[in-house]
Amino acid sequence: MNHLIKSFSRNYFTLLILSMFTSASFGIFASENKTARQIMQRVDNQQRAAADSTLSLSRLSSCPYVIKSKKVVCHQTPRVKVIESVTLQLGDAKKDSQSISIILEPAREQGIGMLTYSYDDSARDTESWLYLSALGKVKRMASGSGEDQEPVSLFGSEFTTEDMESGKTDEYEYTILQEGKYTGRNVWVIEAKPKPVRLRKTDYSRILFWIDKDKELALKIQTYDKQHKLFKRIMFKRFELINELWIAREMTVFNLRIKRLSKMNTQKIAMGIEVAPLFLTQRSLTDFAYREQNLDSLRKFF
Amino acid sequence: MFFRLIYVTILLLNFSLHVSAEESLLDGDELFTDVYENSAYEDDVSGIDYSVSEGLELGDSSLQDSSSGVHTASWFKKIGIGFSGDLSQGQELEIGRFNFNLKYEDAIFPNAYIKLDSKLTYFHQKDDLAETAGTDYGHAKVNDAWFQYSYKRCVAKVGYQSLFWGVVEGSYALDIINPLDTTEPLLTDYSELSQSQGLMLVNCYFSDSDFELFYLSDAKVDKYSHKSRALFDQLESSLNDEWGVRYSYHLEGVDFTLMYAHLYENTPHLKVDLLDPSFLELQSFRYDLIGLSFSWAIERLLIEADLAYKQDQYKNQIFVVGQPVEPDDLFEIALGFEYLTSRNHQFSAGVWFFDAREESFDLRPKHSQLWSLSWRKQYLNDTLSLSLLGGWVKQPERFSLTALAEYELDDYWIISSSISHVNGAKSDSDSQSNNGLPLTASEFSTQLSVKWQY
Repeated sequence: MNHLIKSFSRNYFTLLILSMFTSASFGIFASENKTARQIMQRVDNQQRAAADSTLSLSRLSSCPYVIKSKKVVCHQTPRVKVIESVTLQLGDAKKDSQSISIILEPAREQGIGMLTYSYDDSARDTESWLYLSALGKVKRMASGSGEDQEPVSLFGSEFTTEDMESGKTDEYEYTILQEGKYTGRNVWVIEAKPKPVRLRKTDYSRILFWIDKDKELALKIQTYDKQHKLFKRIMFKRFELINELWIAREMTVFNLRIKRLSKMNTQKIAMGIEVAPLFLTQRSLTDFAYREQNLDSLRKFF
Repeated sequence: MFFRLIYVTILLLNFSLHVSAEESLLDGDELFTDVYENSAYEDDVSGIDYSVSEGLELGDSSLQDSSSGVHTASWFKKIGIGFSGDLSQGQELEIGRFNFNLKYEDAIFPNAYIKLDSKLTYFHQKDDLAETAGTDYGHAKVNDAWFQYSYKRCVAKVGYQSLFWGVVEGSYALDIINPLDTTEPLLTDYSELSQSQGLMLVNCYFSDSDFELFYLSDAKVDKYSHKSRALFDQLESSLNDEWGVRYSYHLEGVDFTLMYAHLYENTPHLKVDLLDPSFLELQSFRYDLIGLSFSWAIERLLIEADLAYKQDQYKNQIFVVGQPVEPDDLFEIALGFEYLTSRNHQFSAGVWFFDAREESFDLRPKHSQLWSLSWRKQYLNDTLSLSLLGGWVKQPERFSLTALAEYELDDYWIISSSISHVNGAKSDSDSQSNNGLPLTASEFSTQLSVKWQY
C-alpha cells in the first residue's frame, strides 16, 4: 500500500498525465532571443493550467523490453494499471490543488482511492486520505510536503515522482545546447543541470529537453544518472489540442539501465469540467453511489 | 609516462564521445530513436504499443477519436474472481486451505450501488480447524452483500458488511463493532478477520464533518470454529440489537471523532457449575462505549490515538454459578504513530493499554499492554514488499516477530510468505512449574499464500 500512497500523493498521478507534455496554443513567443530558463519556465507554467478541472481515464503499462528486428518488444506480459482521476486547481494563482484518483485495474487493487489536497505554500503539508477497499474505511496519510523525499516509482512504473514535479525551475541551471530540426520539427535542445539544492533529492545529473519551438512542448526528454550515463528516455506522441492546450496523450519512458519501459496512455480526458463543491471530499471515497453518480455526469464530457 | 599517455587518450576519447553525443542530439535518428520510430504500430492485447511515433501532427487541432481501447464499463468487467491457497507449518501443518472468491460491484442505477463479495474455502483434513471438526470440509462465507443509496447529503448502506472504528491499527480499543473471525489465517486480508454482519449504516456528510449511525438487529460474538457451534449459536440467538453513532470533524492535518455505542461483548464468558460438571454456558453482556479518536499529520509523521470508556465490563473469563460478579468500568487507550522516511521506509509503532480478562477464578484485574513495531519498504518497482512486525503483550506475556515478503509475479499472481517466532507464557493453569518459575512456549512457523485475482 505504501507505493500507492506515494504514487497518489501530491497529485503526482494527475501530473503524470498532464505535466511536461502540455503547451498553451496561445501567446507563443514572438522573439527568438529567449533564454533557456524563460523557455523552461514557460513550459512549466502550462502544467498547472492543464491540471485544472480535469477528468481523465489513463492506462499505465510497464514491461521489460528488448530490441528485436528494430522493434521494441516487451518480453514479459506488461503490468497494467487503469486509473480514473478528477483534479481541481484552487487559490488565486491556481497553485493549490485537490484531486481524487481511483484504481480500476488490476483487480487486486480495484477500488483503492486517494483524496489529495496539495498546497503551493511549502509550509503547508500535503493532505491525503486513502480509501482502503479491504477495510472499507478511510485513513489519513502523512506524506509531508514531499520537498525532501527520495524519488520513488509511480504505481510501479518507470516514471518517478521526480519526473512529474513542477514549479522547480529555480533548482536547475538551464542552457540551450542546440537549435535545429528534430523529427521534422524546429526544436531547442535544452540542458538542465541541478543546483546543489536539487542534487540532494534527484536521481539525475542532467536532463535534456527537446522543446518544440512553435508549440513549446517537450517532444523528448533524456535524463542522465549521477555517473553521467544515459538513464531514461521519455518519448511523446498523439498530441492533441484540448481547451487551447496541447496534450501528449501517449508517453513512454525507457529505463535504459534496466531495459524496462512504461507507457502512459490517456485514454479519455475532459478539461474545464464543473465539479460539485463537495465531490472532492472524503465522501467520494466511501459513498460509491454518490461518486459514481457524479462521475457519470462528468464522463459525458469525454 | 605510459600512464600519462593513457590519461590523455581517455580525455580525448571522453571529449570525442561528448561531441558525438551532442552532434546527434538533433538528428532524430539515433540508434534507439530510429528503432523506436520505425517500429510497427501494433497494440497487443495487453495494451502495450511497441512503437511510439507516427509523426507529430501538431497542426491538427481536432480531437482524435479517443474511443479506442477505452475502459469497458460493462457488467462483466465488474465481476472479480480469485483463487488462493494458504499453507502454514509449525511443528506440524496448521493451515491447509484452498479458497475461491467471487466479487461483483456496480452502480446499478442512479445514486445506487451494490457490492457482493463471497468466499468458498476448502479445509484440508490436516488443517487445524478440520482436525478439530474431525474431517475435511468446505465453508462458504459472505464478506459483503450490501446495497447503498445516496440522497442529498446522506447515504444509507444496508446488508452484510464490516464496520471499522478507531484509527490505531492492531488495537481493539474502539474497533469492536464487528466481532473477530479467528478462523482466518493472519496473512489474509485484514478485512476478513472482521466478521461481517447484517447492519444498516447511515452517513451524512458536511463540508468539514460527517455523521454516522449504525444499527444491527442481531449481535454476534467472535468466531473460533465453523463446526460444533451449538453453544455459540445458542448464545447468539439470545442476543438483541446493537447501535451506535459517530461524529467526525476534520481540520487541516487533523481528524477528530467522537463515538457512542450500545454493544454486546464480542468475546463471551464461560459459565460453569462446580456442582454439575456437565453444565456449560456462554454469556455476553451489554455495555456502553464512549470513544474518542484523532489523527494528526505533521509532515511525514502521523500520530493516532483511540480512547475508550467502557461501562459494565466483567473482568473474569469464567463465571461460577452462585458466585456473585460485579461489573466494572474500564478505560482503554491506544496510541500509534507512522513515519515515512525520506528514503521511503515506513515505520509504525503502537501501544494499547487494556485490561486482560482473568482466565482463572482469580478476581484480580490484569492490566495489560500490547506493543507493536513494524517496518515496511517496497523494492523492484514495487513488486516486492518486505516487512517486519514485532509485538509484545504483557499479560499473558507473549512476544512475536514476523518477517513477511510479498512478491507480485504479474497483475494476477501474488505470493506471500512469512516466518514467525512466538515466545509466550503458557496458560495460567500450567504456567507455574514445580519450582515456581514460569514455563514458556517457543515456536517457529512459516506460512505461504499464493493468490490469483482477475
